[in-house]
Amino acid sequence: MGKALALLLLTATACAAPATTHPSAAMPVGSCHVMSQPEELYALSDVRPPVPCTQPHQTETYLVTQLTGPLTDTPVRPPHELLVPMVTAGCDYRPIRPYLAAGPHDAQWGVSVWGKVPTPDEWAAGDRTLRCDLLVPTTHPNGGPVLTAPLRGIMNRPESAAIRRCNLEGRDVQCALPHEWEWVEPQGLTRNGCRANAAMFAGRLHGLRIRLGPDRSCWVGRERHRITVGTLREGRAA
Amino acid sequence: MTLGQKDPVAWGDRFPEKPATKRRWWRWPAGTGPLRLRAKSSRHEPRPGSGLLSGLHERPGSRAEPGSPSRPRVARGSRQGGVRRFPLVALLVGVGWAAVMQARLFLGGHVGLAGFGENLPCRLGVANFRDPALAGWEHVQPIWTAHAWTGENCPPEFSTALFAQAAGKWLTPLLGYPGALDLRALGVLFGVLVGVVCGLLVAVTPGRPLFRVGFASAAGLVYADAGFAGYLVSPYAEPTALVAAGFLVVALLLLWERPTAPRVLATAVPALLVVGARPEYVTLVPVIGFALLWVRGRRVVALMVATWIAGLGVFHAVTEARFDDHRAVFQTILYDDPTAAADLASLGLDPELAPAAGLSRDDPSWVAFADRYHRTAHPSPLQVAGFYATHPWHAIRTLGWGFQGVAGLRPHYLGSYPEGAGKPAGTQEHRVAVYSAIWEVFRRGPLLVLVLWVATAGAGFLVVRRRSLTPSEKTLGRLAVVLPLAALAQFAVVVLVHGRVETVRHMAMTNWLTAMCVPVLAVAVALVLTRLRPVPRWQHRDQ
Repeated sequence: MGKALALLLLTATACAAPATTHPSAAMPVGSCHVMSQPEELYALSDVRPPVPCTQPHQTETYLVTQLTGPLTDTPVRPPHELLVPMVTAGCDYRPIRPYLAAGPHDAQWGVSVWGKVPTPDEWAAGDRTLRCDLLVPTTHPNGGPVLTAPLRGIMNRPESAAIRRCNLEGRDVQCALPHEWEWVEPQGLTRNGCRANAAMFAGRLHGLRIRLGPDRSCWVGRERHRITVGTLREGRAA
Repeated sequence: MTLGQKDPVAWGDRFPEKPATKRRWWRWPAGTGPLRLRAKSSRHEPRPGSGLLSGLHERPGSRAEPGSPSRPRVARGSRQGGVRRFPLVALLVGVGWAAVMQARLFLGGHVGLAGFGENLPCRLGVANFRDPALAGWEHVQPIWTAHAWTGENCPPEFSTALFAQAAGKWLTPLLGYPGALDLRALGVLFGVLVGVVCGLLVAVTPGRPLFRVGFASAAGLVYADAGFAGYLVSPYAEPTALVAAGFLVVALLLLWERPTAPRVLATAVPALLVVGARPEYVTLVPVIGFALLWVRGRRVVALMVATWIAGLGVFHAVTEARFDDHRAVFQTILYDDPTAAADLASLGLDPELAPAAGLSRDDPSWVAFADRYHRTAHPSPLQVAGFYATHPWHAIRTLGWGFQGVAGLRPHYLGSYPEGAGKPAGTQEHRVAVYSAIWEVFRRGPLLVLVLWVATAGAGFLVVRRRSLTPSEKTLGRLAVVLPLAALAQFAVVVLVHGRVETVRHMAMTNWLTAMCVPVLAVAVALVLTRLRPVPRWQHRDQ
């Protein structure tokens, strides 16, 4: 009995104090969220207080809306398999490019959308807020995704290399990683069209070379020092 | 006629209550006490040492003179309540098995069991530090770092395993391991506790020292076997329950030997640890209650303790067990079921869901049925049990999957080695595989598990009924009856709740109980076979 009591005491002292929470409905667009554990990313809700986007974080909210549909009338939050279609339908992809400040020649790559719904208690209290976050893939081979810059308007900044598509030896990589070629929007062009777009994309053609992929995708790369890091986008080079 | 009646110490073993107090000892007049009686009958006895389990406590200087009421000379502290404990042997065995377990878990690099999706330690404010590119089944990831969980990311589960994990968290920096909780610290702790269990088994098991060492080592070998050792370095709740079950066996043997209030209460501690580890273990409550009440005295205290355990079990079942009828119905009953619609109707579910038979929730095809499933009525475990009672073919089919799950012994998809150990993902280790080898027989004939249970319980019943055996020896008979009952109860709930979904992993406790049946059956059979001759009634007045 004494052993059990001692262990009970031990557990009581070892248990972590509950972390502070932030209501799901009070997460604004542009807020950044720490989800360093896969369990947090896959969970239906997230009530951890947001952090400044200059601090290490994983996701950023680009849209806050309301869940719609007949299931929203139920007092108990529907299960995961029913919420997923609602989240997929509710997280509209159209605001993403304006949020990133992507131009006609910019293509975001690897950015995924993760929806968060209210907790069961918040749902029971009538909250139907749907939060749509953007997640950028990791650039660390042995680590999870981490960002230290806001995604809002990122296409205008050198950090956009983290979400631009590049290629190294036939393998697609982020432009923040070593690469040889960088993708230029749109695809389905002729060689001359690709050259023109590449010139508009990089602001020059001097010292650059272009490649038209088998799917008529347009790629631009350096003529010298072919393996590089960062983007060739005009004015966004680091 | 029992063996060893010439031996006063063995006599004390046979009548543990009588020599318990000096006052009682004095009141027995010369010539009528047990020593006198034994001295009279000694000439009819077989030669000491010819038996297997008893009559084996004799040693030089411990024999009383015939007709003498004097107390036999026994080593001080080696005998409690008339039963010898062999403390030195117990200590050596305990230390030895603790060392064996450490070597078994850590020699040449640690092994364990990959904690695929298990996040129970999150309740202690830690998170698994792992390569995010890995799914979790590939390797053992022992390091957990401090992490502040919020909301439903760390569900408010309670498990008595948290006690052990809290102790592991406390031990982690002391042992020099990185992170806030290192599962290797848990392995060290559990290894030591296994040694304690083995040492205590030596002390509470009747018979010769060699026999006690053999029985305790057979139990230690269960923990060391590849089928169970991995759990000791894992984030699951199972290791706490398995080690606590070892202590429960010790406590029950002690309780049955001589029921006293402290012993009844001491039984409650490991019992609560076992029952509270996982919601499924609630089914052990009636078995433990039965074991507690299977004593000659102190029934009130035993009843009280049984009530506590039952209360905890009910609480656990109500608050924690989330019966997922999807697994029990759609992935088990309806799996490859030609009468799915009719069976759904029998269960009170919407027959329109019949095309979803066999689909898991992760199956893309399930989405089309998710809404209808969400809106239909859901059967309770009792309703599912009632369905099996009225549909024997389904019951047989599901029981078959259950026995296959027991025969599987360990999940085949969870790796045993850490990342960087040079082993491919999901590689399992088999360095100690005694019981695993026995399970090869069960894999060929899963129903042999049932045969083992029945044989163990039957042999145990014979031991309990055999009048020529001492109360101490009969404790092993009771254990032989209780172990299969517990295994059967655990098997039933896993089959009912989990069906054929992850059956092997959920059968860990059933497998441990089944493995323990092997040495207990051997002992029970030996007891029955070596004590065929009856003992005169006058020798059983205190039994």
